[in-house]
Amino acid sequence: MTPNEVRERLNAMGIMGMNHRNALYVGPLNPRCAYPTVDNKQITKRLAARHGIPTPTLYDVIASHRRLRDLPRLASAWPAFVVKPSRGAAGNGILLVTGHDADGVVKPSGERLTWDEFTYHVACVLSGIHSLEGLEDEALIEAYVRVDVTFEAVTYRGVPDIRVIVYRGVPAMAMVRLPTKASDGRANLHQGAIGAGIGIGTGMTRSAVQGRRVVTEHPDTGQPVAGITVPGWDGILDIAARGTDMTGLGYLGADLVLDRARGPLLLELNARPGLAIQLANQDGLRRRLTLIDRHRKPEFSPRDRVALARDLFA
Amino acid sequence: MRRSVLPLVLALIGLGLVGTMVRSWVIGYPLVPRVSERIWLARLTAEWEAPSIALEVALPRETDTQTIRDERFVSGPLETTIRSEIGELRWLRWIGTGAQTASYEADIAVRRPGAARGPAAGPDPARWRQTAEYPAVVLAAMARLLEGVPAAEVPRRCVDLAADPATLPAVLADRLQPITDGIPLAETLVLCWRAAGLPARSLQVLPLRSGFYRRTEALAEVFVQGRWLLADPTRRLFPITPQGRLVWAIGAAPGVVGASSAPVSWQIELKPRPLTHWTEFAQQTASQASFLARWSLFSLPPNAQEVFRVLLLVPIGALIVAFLRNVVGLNTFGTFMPILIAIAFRQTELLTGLTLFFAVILVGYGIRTGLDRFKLLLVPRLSVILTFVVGSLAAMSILAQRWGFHNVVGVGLLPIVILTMTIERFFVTAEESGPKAALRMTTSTGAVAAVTFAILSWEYLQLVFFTYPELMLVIAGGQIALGRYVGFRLSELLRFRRLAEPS
Repeated sequence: MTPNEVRERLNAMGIMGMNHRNALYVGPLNPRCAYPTVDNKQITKRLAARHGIPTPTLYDVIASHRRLRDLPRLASAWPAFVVKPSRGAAGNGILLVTGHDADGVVKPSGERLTWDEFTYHVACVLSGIHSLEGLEDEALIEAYVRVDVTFEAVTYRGVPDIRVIVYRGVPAMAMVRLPTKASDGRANLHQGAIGAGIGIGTGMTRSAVQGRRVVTEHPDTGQPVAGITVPGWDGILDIAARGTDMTGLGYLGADLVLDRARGPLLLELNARPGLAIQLANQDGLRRRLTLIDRHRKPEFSPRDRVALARDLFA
Repeated sequence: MRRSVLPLVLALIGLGLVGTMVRSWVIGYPLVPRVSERIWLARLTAEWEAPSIALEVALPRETDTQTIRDERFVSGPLETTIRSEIGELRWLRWIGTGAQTASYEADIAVRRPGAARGPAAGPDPARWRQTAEYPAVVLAAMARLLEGVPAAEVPRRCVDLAADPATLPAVLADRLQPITDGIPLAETLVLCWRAAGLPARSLQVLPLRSGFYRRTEALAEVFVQGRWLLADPTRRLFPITPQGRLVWAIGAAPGVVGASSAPVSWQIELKPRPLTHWTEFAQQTASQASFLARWSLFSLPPNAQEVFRVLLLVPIGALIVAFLRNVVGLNTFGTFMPILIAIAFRQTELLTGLTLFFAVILVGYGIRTGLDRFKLLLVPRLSVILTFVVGSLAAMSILAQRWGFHNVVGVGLLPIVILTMTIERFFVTAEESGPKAALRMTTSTGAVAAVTFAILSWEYLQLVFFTYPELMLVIAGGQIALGRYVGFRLSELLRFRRLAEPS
């Protein structure tokens, strides 16, 4: 196929490119003043609490280097936890800790870090090395999420997370990101995690990709990735849809995780969600957003918007 | 929904072009500054061992495609005189003691040959017809060879004869031997032409390329129908234009003739002189009394001009960077970092600059990897890398100076702080997305910098933008138009190609 034929095909399918997303959706629909609410996870959590949206329990916020030396003592109150930069991007700087003792902490892989190494990681977070603008940052200590068993067979180590693109409060496209050996247990698509598209109406995984390649089974476990029904799908769509009311962002990506006991929890919101979700779903975002524009009415409640989405996108 | 930018873009472009037009009209400048000639610097250096010397140096001549702008002599205590012969030949004579080297320098403006074929007749072409120096028997043998050849074809036939001395009759070849031994075919050709009664002479030429030359190439020219026509007997070409060659002197003698028996070694260095149009343009404009001319960038002091010449092209660089990012989809470290690197390349030249860029990134990456185990905090760690970058640049400069790569020394102006941040970004990218992705990003950063460098150093473009700064409005128009491009990036066509394939 010539590049021009590819372009025409992609346009016909309503695939969205980066320029299109930035100029027609992110730019006009996401006011600058709303960015801090999503770029800073602490503010996101606070807002979510106010809107009754569940998030992982916050144990502590480390804001100053002075508190670093107290970490081993503070940790006694946290059985298993996650360190996150408050303003981190793309999952950078996140450290999972499943347990700890006098010598140090244990990662999910079983690898151990001494307290010195662990403290260094938190200090790096405070220095802002993982933050969006490289500014000073804070470290959130959250409860370690006991992930629902649904995706256990198709996950290598880490935590699978669910991404929903929400346009004007209507869920438009969804996928689950499954960590692989190649992605080193991280749910990051450009590092080699699998993206499996989820039917908005059915709540069931369909096609999946790893990078640009179509996959039908998880490369490490060999289990099929399609046909998995996501539990609590209505709750997931509801949380995602209310992300818009919470932040005022007209175009956003909601990242959720399924907790074994608490059900779907909101991890973070993203004002510039990536486009790889189109590959995972083998469908174009532009096509779906145009459909939403045609059917969405201003008076719709979050419940109406979820219903509309389930109706439009089987 | 979205305000159209078309009127704004058109207004900016229109304004820029109208401004240019007005300025061109008021100052009386050609709309497109003509770059019809290049100035070459020729430096002849002679060296000798003897305590005293007397030598003659043939000086470059003026033709209708080359003009001597300026001449300088460095000869210390030697007595320097210039002797001209019939207005066409000039000899420089150095006599004296107390020096063992002397040099002569000339700025030579070289034009492209125009429509005219060959240079116009110099004074007294008949002077080049004399045959007294050749034995009569040789002349007679040569004349016999040309018997029956129509007059119009004689010049060409001589070129063929001279190009292939093996075909000459034995008698002629034997007699020619002492005359042409060790000297180029051009002499045989001159002999042939003169035997036919045509004015002819040999020329010493140099190829118009930067370099050092220890010998000249010999060509010959013949005077027919009021013009001198040039021939290259070695390649059997006739007539040719002097394009791509610098005519140094007339006659068989190359460059330097030692009058005493002391051996003299010599070399000629040729290099294009940059910025010479510049001076010429500036002088022309500065002398204009008009309002616009006084309010032009030419009114700035020279070093400020130097800065603005490059600065005015930076917007073009930015336009290119924007294009490569939004239309092509190249990802570089830092949005405008390639431009800063390109500016730094101006001090180091492209190849050296690129090599240094990659070298610094790799050295820095090594240091960064080594430092990783010490778990330093961000800012102190960056300062350590900065220190090592400066240190390794200093080391490279010293080495380069030793080995004679003088342009490396200009490296001090590479944006070191930005390089430091790049090293950190390179490390983080290598950690997170793999070394391949980091290397790819480094490569595209280097490539974009190279493209930008090519634009920034395009002297012609500098001239146009410096003379007509209004053109920046046109660039701004282009940038705004680009800001509204919502189509796919080329890289995205590749990324989403699978979706377009029929399943």
